[in-house]
Amino acid sequence: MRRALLGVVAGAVFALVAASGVSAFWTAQHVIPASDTASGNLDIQVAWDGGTAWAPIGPGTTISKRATITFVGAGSTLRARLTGTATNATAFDPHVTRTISLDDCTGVAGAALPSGGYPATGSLAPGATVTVCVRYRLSATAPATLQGQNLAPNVVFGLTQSSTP
Amino acid sequence: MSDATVATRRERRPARPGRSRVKAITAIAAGAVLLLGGGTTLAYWSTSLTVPAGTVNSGDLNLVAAGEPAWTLQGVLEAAPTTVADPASVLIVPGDTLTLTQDVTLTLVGDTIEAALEVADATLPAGLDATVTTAGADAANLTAADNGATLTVTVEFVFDPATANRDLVNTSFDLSDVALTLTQKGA
Repeated sequence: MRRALLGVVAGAVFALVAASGVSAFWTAQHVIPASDTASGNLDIQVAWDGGTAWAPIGPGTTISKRATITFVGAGSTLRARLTGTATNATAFDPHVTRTISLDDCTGVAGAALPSGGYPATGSLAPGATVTVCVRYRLSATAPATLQGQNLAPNVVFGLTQSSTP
Repeated sequence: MSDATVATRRERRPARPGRSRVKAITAIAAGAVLLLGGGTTLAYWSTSLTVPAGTVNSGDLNLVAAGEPAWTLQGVLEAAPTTVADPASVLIVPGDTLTLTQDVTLTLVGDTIEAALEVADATLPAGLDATVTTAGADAANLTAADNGATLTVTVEFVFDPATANRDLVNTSFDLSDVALTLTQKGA
């Protein structure tokens, strides 16, 4: 009985298709032989002169450390700018001055690293290196309560892909 | 009773292999009746006349690439795109536009032929967007008047500039699904 029912249904479908025509027309296709492409890479390397240990800091003194930042990246059009931020333990905030400048810590401080990124005009290409000096200066009037406390210096460098010339 | 003596009526009944075949034939006959639609009957008198109508030829519809595809790359910082010999040789970054340009020549022969040229968007990986434009003729409304015309198809692949952090670095993108399709219009 089931076969009979299937046969009737098939016949009805066939009749319906025959009555309504077909949908195919001519078509031609060309496949463009596109190949793969790949994205680049953006990364940062920071080398601290003498490691990451800082000298003790006292009232009226400045401690500094030189860092060499390397733009590790690849990309046919890739350019980037360098940013840096230094922080420390909150208890020291009112009494500490932090700077990140474009020099090697051997002399007078250079220009400050622009807050909008270095360079201020133009941008860095992959492979570029930038030497900066991070300085912490504790005020001569810092209270004795900071004695023996951890300054906890923390520096974050970033490379951000340039989107403007 | 033993198993050997217990036989159902079905088992005792002689096999009738032709029964299911009869059902199938009946079903096909029912379909054929539906196909005929009941509108015709068996023939009585008939005659025929061969009309000397000659021959009629079909037209043609085709598209072929005219020349090699050309690629350019433009970054967000660059004023003008640069030519790329092979897209596999570049490393794209967010904001980049990788552009493919391909000329195609149309064959459209037929008194009533109308067709449309479309680009089947590639199945793009995340992070890439594609836009397609054509120049040289109205790609959506092609007729026999466009037979032999050359259209320039441009496909722009844009690496989403909103790609943040280090998302999608060192990623391979397959662009091989770009297909141009010329289809006769049916309605």
